[in-house]
Amino acid sequence: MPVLDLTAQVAARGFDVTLSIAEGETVAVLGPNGAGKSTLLGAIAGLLRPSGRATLGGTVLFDGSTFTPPHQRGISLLAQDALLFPHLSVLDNVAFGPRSAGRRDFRERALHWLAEVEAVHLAERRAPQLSGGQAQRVAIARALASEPRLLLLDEPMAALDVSAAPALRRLLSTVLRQRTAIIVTHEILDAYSVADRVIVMNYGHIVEQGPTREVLERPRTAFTAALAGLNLIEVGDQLGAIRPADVTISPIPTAHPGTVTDLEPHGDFVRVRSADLAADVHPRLVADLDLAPGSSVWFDFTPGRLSVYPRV
Amino acid sequence: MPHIRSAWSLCLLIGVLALAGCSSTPQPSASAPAGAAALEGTITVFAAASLTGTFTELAAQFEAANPGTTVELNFAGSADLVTQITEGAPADVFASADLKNMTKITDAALNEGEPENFATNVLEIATPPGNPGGVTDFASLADPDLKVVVCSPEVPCGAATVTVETATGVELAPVSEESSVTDVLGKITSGEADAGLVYVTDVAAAGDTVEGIEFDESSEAVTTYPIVALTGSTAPDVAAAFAAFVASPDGQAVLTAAGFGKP
Amino acid sequence: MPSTGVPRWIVAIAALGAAFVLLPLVAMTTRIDWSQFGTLLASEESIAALLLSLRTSLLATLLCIVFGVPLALVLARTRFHGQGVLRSLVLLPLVLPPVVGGIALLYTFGRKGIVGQALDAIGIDIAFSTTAVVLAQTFVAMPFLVLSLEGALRTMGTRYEVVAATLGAGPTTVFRRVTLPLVLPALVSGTVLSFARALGEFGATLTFAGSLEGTTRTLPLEIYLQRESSPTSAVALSLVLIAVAIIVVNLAHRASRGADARA
Repeated sequence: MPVLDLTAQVAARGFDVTLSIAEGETVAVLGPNGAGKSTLLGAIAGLLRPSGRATLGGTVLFDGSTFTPPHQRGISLLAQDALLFPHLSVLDNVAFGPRSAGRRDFRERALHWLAEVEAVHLAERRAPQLSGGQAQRVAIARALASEPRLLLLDEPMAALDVSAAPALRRLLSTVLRQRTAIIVTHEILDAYSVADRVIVMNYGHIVEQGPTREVLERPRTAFTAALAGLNLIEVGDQLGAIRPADVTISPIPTAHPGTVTDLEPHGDFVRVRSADLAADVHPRLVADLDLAPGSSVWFDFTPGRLSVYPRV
Repeated sequence: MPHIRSAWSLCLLIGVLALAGCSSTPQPSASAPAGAAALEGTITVFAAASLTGTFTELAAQFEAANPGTTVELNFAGSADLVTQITEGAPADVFASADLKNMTKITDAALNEGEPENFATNVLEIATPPGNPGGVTDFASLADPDLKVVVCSPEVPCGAATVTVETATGVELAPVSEESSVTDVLGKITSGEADAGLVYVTDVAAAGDTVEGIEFDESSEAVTTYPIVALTGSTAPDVAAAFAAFVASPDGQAVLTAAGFGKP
Repeated sequence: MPSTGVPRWIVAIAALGAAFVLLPLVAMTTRIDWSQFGTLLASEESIAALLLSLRTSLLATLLCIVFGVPLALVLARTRFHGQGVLRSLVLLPLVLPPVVGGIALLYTFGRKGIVGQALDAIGIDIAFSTTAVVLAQTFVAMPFLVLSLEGALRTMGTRYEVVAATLGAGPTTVFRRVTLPLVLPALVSGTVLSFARALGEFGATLTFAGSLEGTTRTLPLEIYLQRESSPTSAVALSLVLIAVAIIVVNLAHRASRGADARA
């Protein structure tokens, strides 16, 4: 029995999505900017009025005739920016949800959730005094304290620096374990860490969806493959995926010729791109072969490293 | 032919003289006395607000009779004018709405010559058209149900009101004591007040917008208007001439027509 | 404190600007008869005027808050046809000469006014009453509050309110616990401006409410009246008004900084 059932259209943005989420399931939404990910979250949270219909549990979120306002949906939203209320202490921030719901033990509840995110020691501080990572931690506690039926996360790690993100990722994977949640992200690491299912979006539509490993290791579209950082080629009437790290450039002709379109330096390797394949190659080789966009190359890989799977 | 030419010249000369004789109207006393140089210059006249209509007319007549002169006018409450003059405003003539304010000028020795009284004014009851309050005379103003507006005692028309109250023994309970007659009139014309006390000249000037009720006791409080030329004038002759004109019979004609009394 | 990098020529112009504002105040103090100052301030009229001014201004400020906050919210946070027109009209009293405002109020609430007629029928008379003073002050002062607040609300955006809603807070709770506290500094400064404006209100009060000691003669009106008999008294009372204004602005500035620090 799905918890969230949604079909929504926003004509002005070319947005048309149908999806269902089961109880306790965490879904990651991947896609480029402008794909409609934020529109999706906005429609679910009640910040937009799309056409269509959505239900959460037994409640109608919206359909042709009704529209439930955000504060009655039981859906919490966590954004890139923690948006902690600057005039309240950390404790009062976390207690905000329970207090608005009329619970008398809001203080205890707040402390409980602060403990869950290991931020009790920050209880008396104010938002401007916290670091980015600390603020997001508190924001998670605040979102959970209102006991939402569905948790939405909009690129929660995007604004954090490299050192703060891992800790938060670990926290999220713990917190989201049994929760119904949707997390929008650019990082496939986030999807791997917390998501049961992945949805790939582009131009306001769902391009592909399925279990995380399935979608990210056996992409069905070039678009998804690119997101997952995989090469996707045709193998007869099936598809084959291979990581660029497993692809090399050969000095002698192979079955996979190509023309270089791009050279992307990544520290100790260079990703050589062509229309069909990408290979991670040592910089020395790039220099020796004098590679540049337009150069003709032959790609090579060990057949065993290619993962072949059916189209559908 | 010399005869005819000189005859023509003579005729021409006679004709011109005759025309000159015909066109010259009886000279009003506004112009300079015969034999004196024509008046020239610009003067600024500070006059009480209640003299607005009359002094505008008088200034126009004076300028017409004395081409070469310009009369600039500044109207305001007499007390304000006194303040401006004592603070050094460039005024050549001062016409006050009461003696009290003129005394402040003479006390400060800012006058050139003695002030001359040129008009008087008495109070009149003014009501909105139709007299909705049913006011009949001064005593009826004391009716507590009536909304009466008067001038504050600090201003000339208010001082006059107090004098009449004392003389008649009738004490009014106004709903407002305004700082200027204009404000009193405004409350009446808008219908907010049932009656008010203003000058007869104000009632005359207000035309159809108010109804006036004269009352005998008004003669108990006569407000006298003096005029004087001021020191430090850039055109003292013109200033003196204007002041004299206002007090002259021709000037008086304008003032009387507006409702002012004789000094 | 490190140098702020303000160019020196800007500081020079700022000094000129400050002098422009301060010199007239200094000039006023030079005209005060300090020996009379005490008795003047203790006079019945002065005290009545000061107390009336404080009472009415405080009440007017309260009304400004009660009506101004919702107005600002609606203007900043909602969208409807004619919103631009509404905003222009709400801010109209800022540019309208106060006397014109008074006339407008008269035509609305006066005995013959569109609302006044109805009130008159049930026996409520607003003109010439203290209520009229409060209305006049509210009319001219409210735009200050609306302007300050609307600007702050726009700048602040609705991000925090959105978060609060997703946490389960209904619109009233959001307003009470998120919007108001966040906009408090602007509210305080807007309130101070409104109070100062109400305190100094003159033209609309004069035209609409009239001038009667203890009922409608606020301090500015008393000062206006004192000019007629004693300009130095007027100056002394003006200083009182200035002193009150300075105290209020100062107190509010501290309160606003306190609110800032807590936020």
